[in-house]
Amino acid sequence: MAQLLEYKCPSCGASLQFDSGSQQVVCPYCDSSFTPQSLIDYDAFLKQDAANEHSETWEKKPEEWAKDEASGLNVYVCSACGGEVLGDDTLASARCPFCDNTVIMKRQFTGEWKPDLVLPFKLDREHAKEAFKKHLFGKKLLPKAFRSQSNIEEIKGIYVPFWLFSSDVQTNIRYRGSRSRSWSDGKYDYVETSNYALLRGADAHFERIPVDGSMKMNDALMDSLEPFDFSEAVDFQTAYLAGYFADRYDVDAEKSVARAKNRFVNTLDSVMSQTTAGYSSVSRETTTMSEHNNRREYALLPVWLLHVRWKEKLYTFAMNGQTGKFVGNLPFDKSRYWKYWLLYALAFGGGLAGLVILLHYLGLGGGCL
Amino acid sequence: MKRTLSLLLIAILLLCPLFSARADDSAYIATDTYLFSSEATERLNARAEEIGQERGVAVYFFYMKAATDLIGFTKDYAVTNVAESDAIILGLNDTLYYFYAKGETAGKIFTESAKDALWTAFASITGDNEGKVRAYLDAADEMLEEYFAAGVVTATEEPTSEPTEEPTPAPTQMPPVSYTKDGKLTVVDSAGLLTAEQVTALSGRLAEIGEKYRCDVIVATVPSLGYKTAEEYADDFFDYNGYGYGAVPDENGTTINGDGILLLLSTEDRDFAVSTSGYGIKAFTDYGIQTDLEAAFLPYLRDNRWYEAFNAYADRCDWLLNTARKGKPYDVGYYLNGVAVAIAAIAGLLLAFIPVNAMKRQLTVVYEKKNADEYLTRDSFHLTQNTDLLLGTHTSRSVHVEPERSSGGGGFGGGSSTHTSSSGGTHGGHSGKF
Repeated sequence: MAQLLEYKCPSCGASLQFDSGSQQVVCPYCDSSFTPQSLIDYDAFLKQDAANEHSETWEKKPEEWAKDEASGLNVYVCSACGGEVLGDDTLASARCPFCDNTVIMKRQFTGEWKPDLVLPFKLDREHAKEAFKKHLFGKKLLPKAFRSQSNIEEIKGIYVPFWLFSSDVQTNIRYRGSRSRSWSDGKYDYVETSNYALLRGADAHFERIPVDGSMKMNDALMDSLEPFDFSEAVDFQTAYLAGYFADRYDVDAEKSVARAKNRFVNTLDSVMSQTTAGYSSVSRETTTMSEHNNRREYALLPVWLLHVRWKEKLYTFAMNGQTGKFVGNLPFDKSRYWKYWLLYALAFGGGLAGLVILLHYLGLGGGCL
Repeated sequence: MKRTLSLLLIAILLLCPLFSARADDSAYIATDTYLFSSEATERLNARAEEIGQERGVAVYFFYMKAATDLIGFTKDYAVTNVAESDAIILGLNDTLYYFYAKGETAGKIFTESAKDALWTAFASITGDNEGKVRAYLDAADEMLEEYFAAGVVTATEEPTSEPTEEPTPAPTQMPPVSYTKDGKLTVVDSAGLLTAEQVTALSGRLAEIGEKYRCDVIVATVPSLGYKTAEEYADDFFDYNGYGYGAVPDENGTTINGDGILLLLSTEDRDFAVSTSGYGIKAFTDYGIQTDLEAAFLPYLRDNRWYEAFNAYADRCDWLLNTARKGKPYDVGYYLNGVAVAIAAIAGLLLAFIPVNAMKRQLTVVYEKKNADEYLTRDSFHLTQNTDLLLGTHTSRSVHVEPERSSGGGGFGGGSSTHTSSSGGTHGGHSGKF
């Protein structure tokens, strides 16, 4: 009945962290490293031994949980330092802001909330910082001050909850298309139009379409981090969470399904309409779809989140913790935009006008120059 | 011997009239200033001789600038130069005219009012010196014919007063008109649209231009085109009257492909035609004629301001010939098309947005994904149905309309279009209504 999990180094007792480089759980103080599986075994072993100890901690916990009804915030108490960790209903793991200890709210991972798989972090915090710098590079319309004056307020490594949908989709679409040909016999012009019903059907398999399961996380931002390589996915173990934040899902699977469906319908439509080449004015009339062998998986995917403050505005960037893809929208410097435009306008306008004048004096261009 | 000599004498005496007649041939028309070409003089003389021989009363004409005492000179002239006993003489100096009827018959026929009628005929033609004299000859011929046919000249009264002894003032009646290098009139005003002074000035101007550019620049007016089109009339006028700088006329006086440009007007039909020939075809392009030349003189023609119209014509011919001489005849595309430059510049301004917007797009990389293309397992896609059903066919029909063909107006392609005239020569130009 452990509510909060904290992984302690078996050697020195310090807080453990999952190291993305080695894909193992390491102790930053005594440099020992452990595979997640060995930790679990050790933990189980410890549980038998220190059941009382843990239960004390657990028993304490319920008393000290305070639920702030109005704002939906929960207060967790760090067992290492006693500091208070604030989190909403979905917070599943966090680092104590005082002692940096990882606090895992085990409850968030029970029952229906148990993730099916997790993609471990492969890239670390430094990588995220580097990627951010690279992201700013070469953006000509970025205000100069952004690079120098912006500061990264926060870099968080967070496991974002995702729904993964896989399905064998069977679809039938009926299109209406037409073909026409025209000719003339000198007296009349003729146009012959033939209307066709174009019946198309296809089977296709979609594998693990990700849909962001956290209301907090911006869907577009998460979409932009795609693709994730699921071949590196592992079964969920809380050990992987050490050192990172995590949330559980709060978007129901049913709602997420709609988004996934929308996406694969669009894909099927575009693939199918390619088969209607040769017809003009093609329009989709009816669509029928059935899905079989639906599989729904709940996954935790690694994301580095950066919050940057500049000129009183908050900018959010994200990096795919597995592939390193860095995304985020940057501010736009209007005056620079127009300055560049002027430059190009003078170059192109002058160039083209000069060309016209040159052609005139060379005697080319016939009667229009 | 005696017989031979007397035969010779008789022969000579018989032949004398012939000689004297020939001597008289050139004396019907006499001028001390160049008023018309020698061919014109010949023609007039032939006409005058014709009249004299048919009617028995000779018709004489002279223009002597030097004759300050016109009456005295005329009377002397009547004695010394006029062989016939009856004759009517019209004498002019540069400011006065005087009619003198020599002999009784002539005196009876040519009364004061008859003389007035003769003067009217003479004065009615302007710009064509030969035409004036011819009109006088024809009028006199008519009167003589009437008299001898009916015995009396119509519209005459018995002379009640002494014939006037004073010559009548008629300044600049026969102004010196200017001619082309080949001696052709540069202004032929058969429709009588210009005054004498205007003709002098205009013909001088046109002759000057023609000489400068070695290209005849002509203006002709006619009352009516008859059965010909304006284009035909102008082409024929140019060719059959022997126009064209440097062109050699054949035995009929026709020239082909000489260098020149002619503006012809017909006042009754209100048609005009510009006809070019030889170098004129090159120097006056379709574009130049229709947008420059016509634009200059047509507005004046429409207002019946003839003199201004012809002057504008002369000005533009001067400029167009000058431009052509410099190497590039005025044609489409002569002036840099400002619109083209403006469009090019604006296109450049718009094109500039392309790279700048590309730079802007760099900043926004976050997008919601609309499809699941990457999640479609490649080999799993199978098309299970691919059927096309024909639902129906229908045919619509519309009347065929020939696409509009733009002609003239903005359709200049440059250069000059030409046609062949009845003389066989090639002419360019343009005609129309005013």
